Amino acid sequence: MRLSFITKQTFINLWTARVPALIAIFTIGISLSIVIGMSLLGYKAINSFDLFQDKFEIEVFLQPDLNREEILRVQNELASIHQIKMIHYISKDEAARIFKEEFGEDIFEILDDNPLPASFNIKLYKQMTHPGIVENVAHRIEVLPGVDDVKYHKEILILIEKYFRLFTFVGTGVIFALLIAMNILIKNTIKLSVYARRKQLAILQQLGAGSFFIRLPYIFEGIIEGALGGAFAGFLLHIAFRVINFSVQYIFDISLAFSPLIWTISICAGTIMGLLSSNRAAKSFMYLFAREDY
Amino acid sequence: MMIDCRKLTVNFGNGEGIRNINATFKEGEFTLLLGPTGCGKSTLMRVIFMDILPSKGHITIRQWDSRKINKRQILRLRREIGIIFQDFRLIENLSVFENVALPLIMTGHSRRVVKDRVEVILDEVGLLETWHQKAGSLSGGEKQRVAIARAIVKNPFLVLADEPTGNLDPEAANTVFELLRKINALGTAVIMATHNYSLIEDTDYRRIYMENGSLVDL
Repeated sequence: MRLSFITKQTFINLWTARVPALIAIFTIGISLSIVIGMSLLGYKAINSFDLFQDKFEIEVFLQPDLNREEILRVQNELASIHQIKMIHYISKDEAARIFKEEFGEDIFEILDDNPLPASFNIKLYKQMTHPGIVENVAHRIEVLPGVDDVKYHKEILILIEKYFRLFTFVGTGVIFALLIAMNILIKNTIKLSVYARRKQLAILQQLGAGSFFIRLPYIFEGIIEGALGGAFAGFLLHIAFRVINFSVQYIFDISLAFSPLIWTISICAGTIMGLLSSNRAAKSFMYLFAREDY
Repeated sequence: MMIDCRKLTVNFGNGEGIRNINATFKEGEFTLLLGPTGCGKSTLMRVIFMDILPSKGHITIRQWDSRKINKRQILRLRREIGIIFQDFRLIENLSVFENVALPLIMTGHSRRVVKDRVEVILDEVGLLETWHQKAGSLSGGEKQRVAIARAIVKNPFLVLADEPTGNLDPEAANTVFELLRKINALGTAVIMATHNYSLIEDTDYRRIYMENGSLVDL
């Protein structure tokens, strides 16, 4: 009986404040789709950055005519640098083989000799692939006896680091701003709803109704608005994915997969948002407005 | 003793309120609280259902003492007291049935218990036929009968009626007063604030007079 009464009250509240409720649902939908879209992009960016860090290598070219002992000495020196995770030696012959694999031509047939130097391919620990650290490591290697040259993709590393930081900073800011905006919107809708029914609140309190009994219809209202907003966000993301896939498929060989998990996440996120915001709003406004008339 | 007021004072800061009231109310008693408008009758009523707490002194209602009571206990006290106001205080967009059922719904009674109890009470106040109507569509007299039904549906030990006939024509006022007498005859204590002297002139109920926030003659 209690639940059916509260459910009925919830729908009466929603119907009474239907315009603000609709505005809240639409705005939650748009904000949540941006938040989830940005989070997905962020997730993809982190994955790509991770992949880049995994593949990042420094090539250490050795001076020609080093003997086996001198090569071993360089290798030991490299091994003593704690930022280095893996060292792989590439002999002159292996370098020629890689050249043939990559360019399809035998270097001996072109030049009658193998001018390719022996080298070490070095991988750093993931957390050491920041431009400053890499540069420092490269400088240390450059001055080692027997080392001719050190090469790595410095510009790409700096560029990725810079944009990744910017993206993280702006993305986090936007997500927080939108979450705050959604919270304010739900709070305002509940505030209007509570204000419209302030006499009822005072009556219920005088009859001895507990705070939770009074708050429940408003909490349900917030949950419904949040869940509908979440569903709308899922719909917007679905459309956005289709548009993006349609526009970029002629340019890039990629496609974004819209999984039902995104629907679930957006509805759950909206529901949780609605629950928390409406509970807080109902709690703070029910005592504020209840006394105004009686 | 059902209610015991000791040096009860409520100060609103604008000169209004009640001052130094010492009074007791017995179980099952019908008490008439009399006096001109603004003399403090409503304030005393509000203190009894702990809508406001005393500035000085204290009041004890059965096991509830204003000096020790907390929010949860205030709600429990209100669930055992029926309150009737001059302006009815019904939820107008709810039906007569729902308004009367509210005190039972909020305390978690089953659908069957609520239905049976509300039907009996609505029959007692003569509104069984109008159970489905919205409270907002009723006349003043009918609204007050709904308010009485809502007050007694939970079997209270005390009914507080603050000027229950103030907004009613003489005939409706008489019906409401008769209902309160009937409730009292069944053992429920009633404290009724009124300045409708013609309504009560033939009764021998206990009378308490108030003036400027104080009791005049006990």
